[in-house]
Amino acid sequence: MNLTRLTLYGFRNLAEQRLDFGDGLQVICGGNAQGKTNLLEAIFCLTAGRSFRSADDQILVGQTDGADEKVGYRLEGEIKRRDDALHPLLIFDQETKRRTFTLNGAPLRRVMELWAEVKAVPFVPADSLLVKGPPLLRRQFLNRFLGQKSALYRYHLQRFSTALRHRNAILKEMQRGNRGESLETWNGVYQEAAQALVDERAAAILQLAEAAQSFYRLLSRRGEAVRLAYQPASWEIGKDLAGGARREIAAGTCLFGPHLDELEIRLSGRAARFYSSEGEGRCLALALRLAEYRILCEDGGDAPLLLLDDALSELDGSRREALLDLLEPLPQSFLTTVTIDELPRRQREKASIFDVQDGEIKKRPDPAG
Amino acid sequence: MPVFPPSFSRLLEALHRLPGVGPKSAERIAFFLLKSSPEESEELAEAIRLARRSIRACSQCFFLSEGDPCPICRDSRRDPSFLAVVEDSRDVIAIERGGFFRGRYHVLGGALSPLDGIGPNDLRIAQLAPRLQDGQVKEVILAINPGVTGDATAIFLAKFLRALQVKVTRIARGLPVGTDLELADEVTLRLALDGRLEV
Repeated sequence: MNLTRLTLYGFRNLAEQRLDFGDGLQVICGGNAQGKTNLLEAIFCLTAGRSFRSADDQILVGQTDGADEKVGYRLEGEIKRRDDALHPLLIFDQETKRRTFTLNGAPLRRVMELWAEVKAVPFVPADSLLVKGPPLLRRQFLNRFLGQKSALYRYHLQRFSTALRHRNAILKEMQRGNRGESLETWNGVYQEAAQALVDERAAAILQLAEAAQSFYRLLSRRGEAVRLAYQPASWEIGKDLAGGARREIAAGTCLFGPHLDELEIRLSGRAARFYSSEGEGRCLALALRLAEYRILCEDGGDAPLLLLDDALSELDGSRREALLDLLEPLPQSFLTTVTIDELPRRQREKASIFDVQDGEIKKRPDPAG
Repeated sequence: MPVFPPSFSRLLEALHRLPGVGPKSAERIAFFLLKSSPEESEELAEAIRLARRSIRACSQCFFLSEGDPCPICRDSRRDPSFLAVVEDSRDVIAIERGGFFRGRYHVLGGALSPLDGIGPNDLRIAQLAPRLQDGQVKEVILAINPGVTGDATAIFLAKFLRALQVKVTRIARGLPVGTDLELADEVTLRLALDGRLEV
């Protein structure tokens, strides 16, 4: 799928403007703090329903400068797919603090409904936390990846999170000394949804590991062995229900379940979370994102949008070319860079180049005329 | 903020508490009532009062009724061997609209929802037992909404009813009639496959 048009209003530092994008590589070029990442963030918001940086819509609203006070932000896009076109529209109203999301004019009840239609894979420098940060970030990565991949996963994820909140409410009551007559019943509902998530995660991680290894080899100088080890925190609920429940009642919260799973990433046999360098972490994260992208492509249907923020800076010349070679045949990808000189001439000539300065985005004229 | 007379504000607040009525609708309804004849408002007030006074839950099935037992429980042409358990009185009306179910009902008054503090004792589950005592009911049909709270309620009821040694079934879920297979979403199709029937 290709983002052919984006209309911006009130988003971060970006000026009110309409942008038309082409096929293939779209290079977003500009100095630090000019708005490159904000543009990728706007595109991601419109495709995922939330930012990759902040859960707070207020932060996304542009700075007020007295006379031109922003009343919120508005993002509108046109996405061409193989057989049709989609028009997502996201509006955040500063006054009511409400966001409305519509797709082709119809309101979306849940942002996950969008994931079925529009797919996008981002990579941002902060993604090194995907490797070096807490397990929560890796679970969010898995949920987003599988949520785009499978309707059944979205169904079970939604059921699981509801069951989790209900089960927590019972355990809290029981902690206070009240009887939880329906705990056993909720165990059943909870376990069924949990098992479905665990099964899908386990299968997907195998696929992910293989693809991540091949991308890591391509991107890193040494190409060490990458292993992904899935560590579900759900098994005990079935195995030792009574003993488990006693501990859970004491804690007043669910202690077993896929909301506590860990996806351990190992590099040359050592836990990458603790032992990898900053550079290795970023490279691994990029490999994971590319793996996510490839698997989403393999499922058939339209290829997702690929949004790469400052992905070249860590790579040396030949690795840089390897990444650009990967991007070349893709229907559409976005890449930010401080200077266009980071791209070899051949790719520079084929790409659409946009210059970002102080929130203004201008398309560079095509040298061919 | 517009300054309304206190009695008008009170009316707005009362209307706004109704389900599906936002502040704008509340204003529209309130202005309509004030503009229309006094009799019209009196008629509405009287209708609400009368309904509140005369409608009670049936002491057997807990469906809304003016008499006790309700017309469905009184109707001797109903088949006593089937009992449909539903969450809400509105579900009875939905099934009755079809006219194909000839058994009787049992209205639970909701579904298990620990988040809202609703446990088994807050539903009319214990009241099911006396209705099964005379052995007339041969099958209890759980006509409960699919969804997490509905599923939990169904699991709880199934266990409770099995102890009373009665056949328990749950209504099927799957493809809506009039939909082509190719148009159905993956999840519905999967559930329909899981619930397939031998023919």
